[in-house]
Amino acid sequence: MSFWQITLQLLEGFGYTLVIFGVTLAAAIPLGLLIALGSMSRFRPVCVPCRGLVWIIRGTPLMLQIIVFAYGPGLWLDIPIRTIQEQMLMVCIAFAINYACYFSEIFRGGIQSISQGQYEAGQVLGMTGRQIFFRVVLLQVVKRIIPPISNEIITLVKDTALASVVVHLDLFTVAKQIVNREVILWPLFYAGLFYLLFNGLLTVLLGKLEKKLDYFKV
Amino acid sequence: MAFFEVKNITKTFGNTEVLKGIDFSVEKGQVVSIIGSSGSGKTTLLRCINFLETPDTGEIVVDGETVLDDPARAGKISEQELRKRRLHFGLVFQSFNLFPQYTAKENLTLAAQLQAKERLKAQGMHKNRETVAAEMQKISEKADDVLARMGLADKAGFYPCALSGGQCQRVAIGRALMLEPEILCFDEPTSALDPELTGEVLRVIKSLREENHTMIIVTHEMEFAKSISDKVIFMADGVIEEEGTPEEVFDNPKSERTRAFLAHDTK
Repeated sequence: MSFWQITLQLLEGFGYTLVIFGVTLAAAIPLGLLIALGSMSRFRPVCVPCRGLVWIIRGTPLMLQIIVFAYGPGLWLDIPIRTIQEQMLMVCIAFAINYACYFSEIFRGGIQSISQGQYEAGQVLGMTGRQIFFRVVLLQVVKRIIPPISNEIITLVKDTALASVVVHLDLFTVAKQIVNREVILWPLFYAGLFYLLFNGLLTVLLGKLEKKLDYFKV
Repeated sequence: MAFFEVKNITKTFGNTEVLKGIDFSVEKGQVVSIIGSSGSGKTTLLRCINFLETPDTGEIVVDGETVLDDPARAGKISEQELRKRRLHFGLVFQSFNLFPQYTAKENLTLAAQLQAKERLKAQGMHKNRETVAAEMQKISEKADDVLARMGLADKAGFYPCALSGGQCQRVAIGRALMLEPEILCFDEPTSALDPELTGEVLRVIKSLREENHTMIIVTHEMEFAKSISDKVIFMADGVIEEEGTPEEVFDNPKSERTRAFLAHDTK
């Protein structure tokens, strides 16, 4: 296999990696916010399940969760997951729930770090709870959580390699297959370079976002 | 009947009785200062008046309207009703609590704009662009005017982090004034400021007195309380120990505790 062929194969794998990454991120942020609000609720039937979910998801390996989502439906519900689309969907759901739980704890920390005075100032100005949250608190939370969220996002890029237990198409799996087939080692490092460059791009983008919110101090 | 009346307010946190039955009244256009040592319940009283705490018992009446009914009698009121009642009052905090992501002017206009939009929506006019634009223009002009009165005309576009403490507190006063509260409350407005910055804030509060705003001021600035107030209330251990004109309270205190507090304070 030529260098060019290997590059093309890796690029194809990178495409799947990007899909898992993008879908997970897009789903985990709103879901994480919901779980965060749920865990802060004083209403026990809401708060207890949310905290229980976070406990289970953070307390077990992501690889196990992927296996449960990919094979569980076939085993227990008689809904076998066969096509590549179905497999990708289940993998993305497992990733999204896992990352939503980690995000939710970051969101919760961020929301609880905003001083009570901000809420009170909104209240005495006759603002509603929603208005205070969306117009006053949220942007301050966003500014505070960019560094920890960046960490998670960068970890997610590399965690996508775990999808290989179900879907054998992502960047890392493709690289491993080439290594086994061709008995050469360097495609693994070449794949590593893909991750590195993509994370470099993300670091620059997230840094820009952080700079953009530099105009105020929390 | 007085313009503003507080009747038998009590408040307990856990086992601590913070307010043990507070009664006082304020006439329209009057300035009342509340003094007393830390822990005497001054701030809790102010927070009860502004609905940030719910008193255990007591009533609050503004201009004949009962805005806080005795919790024993009153049913639960809706959030909307609570918000409406809140707007009788404005509150300026010790720590300003400006919204950091908004400029000075935006801090003034935010709540007013939200309320205007809500009002227009209730009238079914919120889709009429011209009406909305005219309303927003009015709010913007009013904010410019208020900022100018606060001496901050040139700071409209500044974010709170670029302003001094004194300037922040003046923005906060402007923010409270925007909604035209009938009673403006101050919770130790200068306690978080360096001594050289308190003057500018106190001057602004004095100018409000000249505009006949009804104000309740919790303060540690005795000289200021003496010069600005129509009535001074001295609180100790959750009760009003003494109240009267500044001359009565500062120059001829009847109570032993008032005398001890004032003597200690002037040292």
